[in-house]
Amino acid sequence: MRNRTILTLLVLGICAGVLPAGSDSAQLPYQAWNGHWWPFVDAAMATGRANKPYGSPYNDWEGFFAPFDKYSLALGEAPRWDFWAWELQWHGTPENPEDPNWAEWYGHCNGWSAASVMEIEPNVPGEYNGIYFRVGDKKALLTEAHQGDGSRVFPEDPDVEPISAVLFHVTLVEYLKNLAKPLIIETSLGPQVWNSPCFGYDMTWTDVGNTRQVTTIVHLGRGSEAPDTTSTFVRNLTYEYDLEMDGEVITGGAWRSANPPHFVWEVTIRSAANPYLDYERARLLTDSVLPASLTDDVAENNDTRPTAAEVVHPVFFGRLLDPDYFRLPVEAGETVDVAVHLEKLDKPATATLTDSQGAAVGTVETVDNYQVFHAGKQYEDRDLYLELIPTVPQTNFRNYGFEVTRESLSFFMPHLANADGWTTRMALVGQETEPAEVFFHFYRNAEGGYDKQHFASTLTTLEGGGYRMGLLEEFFPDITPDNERWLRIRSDRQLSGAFLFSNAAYGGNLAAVPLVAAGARKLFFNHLAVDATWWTGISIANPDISHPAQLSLQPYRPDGEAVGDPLELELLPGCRYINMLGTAFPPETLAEAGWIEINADREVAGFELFGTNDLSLFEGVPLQTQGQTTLYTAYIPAESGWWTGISIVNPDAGNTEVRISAYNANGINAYANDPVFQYYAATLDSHMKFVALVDQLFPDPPLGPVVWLKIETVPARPVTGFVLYGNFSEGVLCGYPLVGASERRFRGIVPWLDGTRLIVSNAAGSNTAAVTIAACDAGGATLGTVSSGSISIRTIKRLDPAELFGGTVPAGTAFLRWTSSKNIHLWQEILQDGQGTVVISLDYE
Amino acid sequence: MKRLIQFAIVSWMLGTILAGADRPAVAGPAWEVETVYHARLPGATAFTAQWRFEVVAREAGPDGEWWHVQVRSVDDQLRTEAHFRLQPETGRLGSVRVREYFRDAWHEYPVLQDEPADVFLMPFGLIPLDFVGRVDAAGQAARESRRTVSRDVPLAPRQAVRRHLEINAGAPDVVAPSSWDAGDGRVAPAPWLTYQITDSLAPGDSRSLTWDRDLPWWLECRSPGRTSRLIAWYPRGVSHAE
Repeated sequence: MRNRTILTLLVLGICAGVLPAGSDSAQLPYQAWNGHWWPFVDAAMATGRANKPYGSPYNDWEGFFAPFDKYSLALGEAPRWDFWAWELQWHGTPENPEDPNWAEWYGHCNGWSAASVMEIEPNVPGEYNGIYFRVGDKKALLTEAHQGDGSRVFPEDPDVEPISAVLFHVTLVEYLKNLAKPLIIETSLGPQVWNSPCFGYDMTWTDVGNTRQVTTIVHLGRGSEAPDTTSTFVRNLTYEYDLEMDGEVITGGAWRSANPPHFVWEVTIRSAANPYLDYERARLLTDSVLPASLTDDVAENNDTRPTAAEVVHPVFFGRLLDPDYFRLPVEAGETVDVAVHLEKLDKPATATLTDSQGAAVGTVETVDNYQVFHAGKQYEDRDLYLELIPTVPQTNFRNYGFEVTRESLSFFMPHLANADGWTTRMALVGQETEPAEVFFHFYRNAEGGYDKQHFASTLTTLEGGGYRMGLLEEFFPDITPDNERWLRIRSDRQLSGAFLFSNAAYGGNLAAVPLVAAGARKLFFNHLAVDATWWTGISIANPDISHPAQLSLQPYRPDGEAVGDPLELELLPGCRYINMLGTAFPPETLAEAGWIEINADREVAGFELFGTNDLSLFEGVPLQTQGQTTLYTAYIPAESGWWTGISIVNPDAGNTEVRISAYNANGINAYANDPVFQYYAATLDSHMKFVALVDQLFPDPPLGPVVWLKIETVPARPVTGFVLYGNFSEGVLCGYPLVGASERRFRGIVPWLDGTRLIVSNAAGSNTAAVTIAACDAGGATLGTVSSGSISIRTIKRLDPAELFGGTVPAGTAFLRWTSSKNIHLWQEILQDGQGTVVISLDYE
Repeated sequence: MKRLIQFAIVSWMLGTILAGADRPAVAGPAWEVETVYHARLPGATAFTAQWRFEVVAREAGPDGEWWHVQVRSVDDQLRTEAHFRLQPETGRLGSVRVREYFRDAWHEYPVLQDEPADVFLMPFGLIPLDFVGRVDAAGQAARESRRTVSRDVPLAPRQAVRRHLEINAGAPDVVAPSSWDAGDGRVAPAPWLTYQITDSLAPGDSRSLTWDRDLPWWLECRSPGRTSRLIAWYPRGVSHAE
């Protein structure tokens, strides 16, 4: 009966012109391995949070023991460093989840797809240097190693036209059947991207006239499984399409499937998207197997308190085959937590955080399945000890781990001088409304490392919005004379500040440097003058007291060409480099150099100090850390004998045209009525420097005199720059970095020093502003208030507070507190006895 | 033909063996092509590779001389290689073999375009082997032409795909004659003829191929996904004495 039915259907089919024409199939000799697509949400490879979204829950996943930390610790690299930070920045949840360039479906599906066909499946755990690697860890590393793979895409521009049915059919057969090569299919025609590796297909078709109706089932790997999966489940996806036939020759076709693929691609070049992942080293880990017996960790021999291993990284994974002791140096001002993870061990163990005498420190909190030791804020430099004691040695291959969290803000002054006639005056402002505890740490280079110095301070807490200024000796009555120190101030509140250097032997000349609120790994040294008249010095501190910093200082000629060999430096932990450029570089290099780019592998802080060889003139300028596309000068003095120079560097890889516009006191372009010349333009290719005197750029402006300058770049590229101005006959030299709109403020504090002028700029504003200036005594009480009067847009005023107060500021004035109706720029210029310097106003909340 | 294939296989093996010893015989010219692979996937970045084409053997046949050309990445960092036969005089190419390294092993692929022809579009992989010989155009006074090559390309048993390659030839601006025989690797490109090739299978993926009048290999090959340029020409080959 069954055969008769089939025969009947066949006859009916033939009568209707339908023939069951055939089938085809192909299967690679290997199957794409299943795995996890590692969504960018939470940067799961770096954080270990491999469970959301879209995913299944992963029982017994490593959690804290993230693949990236394992990679770094197993290979002896610094964990939670560049490799980890890159992943958080580029493969993690953005700071703003509303970022239009972000979607929760972003992930590593392309990296997993490529790895699953280009790499042999890791299917057993392994160990390397005592670090345990699960299958999921290995698959994560291989996935990252292929995340940036090059591809050959069919069609080559699928955003213009998705793959046609004919190209899909031909490519599938050509690759999988004829070449035995894997393909990857992007299965989502919409904006989302979902890649899946294809390692086989089954095709059936029916011919209806000249149309071949094809049903193709592609065999795909599964990317939404648990990280550890070694399953062989296959994801089958069905595509239907018609092929137009001329006999057995395909001449055209069209999709019947409502959801055809977007495109298909093959892997052509292996490339890790994360530049800090090394494939060959990753393979040491992914190829590893478990040894016959447990091996101990790299911190051994740390079985007693005297032999405790120093904690130099924020995270450590180890093995508890015997007691493990760790010494944790802490600094006053840090708030320290230690999270201890023993949850993966198969035998009980105890963890204790103690001081050097063995007394327990802080409180213990149990969070989920691990413990957090809250050591709290530290009020002295000391060593804490973490003791991990197994009841019996562990017998599984898993790791324990701990993570040290240190919370505090650091502010730096890379140079202090209070010997040989030098004085350093420090001004500090508490930027927040809450009081700020402050902790001063003095460092000094010593043989093989740093010496730490402590001096009792008259300042331990700075009130909210509070201000203090004085000589170092006033803050630290016991401080000894020394010109070799640098300073870190720790606080859990934001501070701002400035340091003023002076030497009575050289006329009391002033140089001002703002407190450095953050280190940087790329810095620009914009001004460089070393000749018979001028000297330039540099000071760079490595605030990391556990790790050395590698620095490279590369001089560039003004035309953008590197000149001479870079100066390679290793700054030991907590140490500082200070030198005269004339000593640091050969004269032939300095003769050509215009500026210096500094690259560091850790954040460093620095500034430059320059002046005349007789020290009759000198000034300090912080090293620049990032450029801006639009910059402004402060006031340009036009009086006879004064000069102003401007220096601009393009550190970007691309070129730009720098357009410098000159404005007069009324906020009008000083060349507004010139039909030809509106601004001075200079093309700066990558790494070029522009330097000129303002008088040379803008001689005889028809609507002058010039009062301030605006610097714009076209196309918009960040440039850095600074201004140097002075009067040689009066012995004045002042310098300051160019500022951008983001540095405008609506309130701030100015230390009161004789000779203070306030340069108030509404150059970047869009509304008229007015500044109220309050004279305050040392306790913050207001002694009197005056107004600047209205300051129109695009105008600058140079105010003498004494004049505003009727000839002299109120007696007892210690500082000026200013507020503005609009965001403005405000500089403090100090001209004392023919000496000058410029400091930027200090913020407060 | 059978002898030719045998020769090709022997040469392929010989070339591989000698390359492994880092001292292959210098059998003829060598040239280098730089290819920029444009980013085609979200989040991907463009990358650049340099390929060395090296004549590892010559073979005199009744239809002229054949070169056996081996292609490898200049720095040996890319583990994919090709070998093909090229008739420099008539501009025909055939016997294309490719091997790639992945899954910890070399994978060799079947011979592509066994029979020499003047049109070859590399169907997979990285190596820039797209080729439309310009010999037919060499004798034409006017280099503007248009032709269509139609082929039924076997795909599977009892299944083929009909492909129409529309090839438009155009003359770029005339420039000074090339000086590619300097022997020091310098290339003074003299674009002389450009082909635009549109494949009916993927009409959006048209290619353009620009030839010098004298060189037996193209100066530039462009497609939406990649741009390849000839960057060095060594008429007497390259030394492997290092």
